[in-house]
Amino acid sequence: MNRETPMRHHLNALPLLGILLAAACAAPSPVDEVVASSLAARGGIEKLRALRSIRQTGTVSASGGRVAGIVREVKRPGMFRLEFSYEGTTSVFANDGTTGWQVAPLQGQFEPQAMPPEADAAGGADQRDVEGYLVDWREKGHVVELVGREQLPGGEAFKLKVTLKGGTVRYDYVDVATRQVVRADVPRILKGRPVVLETTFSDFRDEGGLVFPHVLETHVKDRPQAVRIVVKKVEINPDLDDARFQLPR
Amino acid sequence: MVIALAAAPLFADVVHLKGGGRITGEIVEQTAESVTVNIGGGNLSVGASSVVRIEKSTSPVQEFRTRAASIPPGDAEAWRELGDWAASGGQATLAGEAYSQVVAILPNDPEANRALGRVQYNGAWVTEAEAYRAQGFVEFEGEWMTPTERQSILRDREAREAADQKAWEAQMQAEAAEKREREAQEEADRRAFMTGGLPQYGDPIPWGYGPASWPVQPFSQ
Repeated sequence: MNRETPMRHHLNALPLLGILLAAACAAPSPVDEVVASSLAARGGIEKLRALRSIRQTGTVSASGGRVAGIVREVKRPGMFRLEFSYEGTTSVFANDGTTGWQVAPLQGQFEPQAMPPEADAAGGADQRDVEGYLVDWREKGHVVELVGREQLPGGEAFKLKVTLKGGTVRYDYVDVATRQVVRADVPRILKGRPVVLETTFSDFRDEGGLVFPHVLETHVKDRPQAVRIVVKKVEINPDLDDARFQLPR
Repeated sequence: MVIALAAAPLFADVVHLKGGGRITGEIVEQTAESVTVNIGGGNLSVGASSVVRIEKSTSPVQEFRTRAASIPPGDAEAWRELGDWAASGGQATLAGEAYSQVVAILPNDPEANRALGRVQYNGAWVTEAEAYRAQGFVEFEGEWMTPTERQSILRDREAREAADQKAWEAQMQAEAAEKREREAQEEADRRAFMTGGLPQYGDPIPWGYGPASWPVQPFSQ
C-alpha cells in the first residue's frame, strides 16, 4: 500500500476546499443578506446613496383628537428640520449637522434657542441620516447584528439589533416576506423614566423609485396610546438651502 | 353657516419669527415692544425683537367656512380633504369639525375616527377612555398604562423619596454631631482654661487680632 496515498488524496482535495472556502467567504453573512435585501426593497443601495435630500409632509394625530401638520426635511450631511403646526402656531426643531436648535411659540419660546448635545441624542440623531443608518453601516461606525426572528401581527420578521455609533441600541424588524422595516424599538427617556418607543411602519409606497412608509404609529411599550403620522407627500431631492437648518443669528 | 361666515374674520395675521416659527391669528394689540395675537384658543404675546415680519393672509377659519359651504351633502371625501387641509395647517379644531362630518356620513371610517381620537375596540369605534378602561388600563398623570406599570412608577418614586429623606436625615445627623463635637470641644477648652490656668506655649489664642500662639515667656529662659 502506498503510504503517500492519503496525503495525495488530501492534496487533490485542496482545490475543491479552496473553492468552497472562497464561496463561503464570498457569500454574505446572514445579517448582510437581511440588510442588503431590506435596502433593495427600499429601492436599492445606489438610489439611496444618491439621495441628497428629502421633504415629507403630513399630519400627526395623538390622543384626545389632537392633530397637527408636520413637514420633515433631511439633507446631507446630517441636516434635519421639522416644522410642527398646531393651533395657529408653527414650531421649528432643526439641526445643521452639528448644532441643534428650536423655536417653539406655543411653549412661549419665540427666539431660536440652541439645544444641548444630549437633546440631539435623545431626539434621535439617527433621524438625521437621509439614506438611513443601515446604508454602509460599517463605514458609519454602527454595529448591526441579526438576533433572531419574531412573529409580529403582520407576519414573521427578522430582528436586527443596531448599536449606533453613539452607543444607542435599537431594534429593527425586517418583514421576512417584503423585506421592509415594519417595526422599530427605540429607547428614550420620557419624563425622567426610561421607556421603549415602539414604532410600526405601514402603507409602503413608491416615491420616485424609493419606497417609504406613509403611516408611522408610535406608542410607549405596554401602553395603548399612540401617536400616528400620516405622510401625504414625499419629495425626493428638493432644493433645500443650508440656511434652513442653521441656527439664525 | 351664514352666521359663522359673518363671524369669521376675512383675513389672518401671520407673525413670522426668526428661524421660521410662525403665529397665525388676529393681532389684538401691537406696540413698539410687543405683538399680541389671538390664535383662537387664547392670546400669545411676543416681543417685537423676535418678529421678522407680519403679513396679512386669508383667514384659515374664513377659508374653511367658505369651502365647507360648498361641499354637497353626503360628500365624505370632500370633508376628509377639508379635514386634512385644516390639520396640515395645524387647525385642530377645524379639522375635528370636518372629520366629524366624515364620521357622520361614514361611521366606521378608520382615518376620520382616529383623527377624532377614537380607537377600535371589539369592532366598534369608541373613545380612548372607554377602550383602554375596558382593556384594564388605568389613567395615571395623563397617560394610560397597565396597573403594574403605575405601581412600578409609584414604587420608584417612593423609593426615590425615601432615599432623599434618608440622605437628608443623614446630613442633619452629621451636622448635629459636628455641632455637638464643636460645642464639647469649646466646653472642654473653657474648662481647661478655667481649671488648668494659663495656656501653654504653642496654644492658639482664640482672640481674633493678635498673636497666633502664646508668646514665649522670656523670663523663664
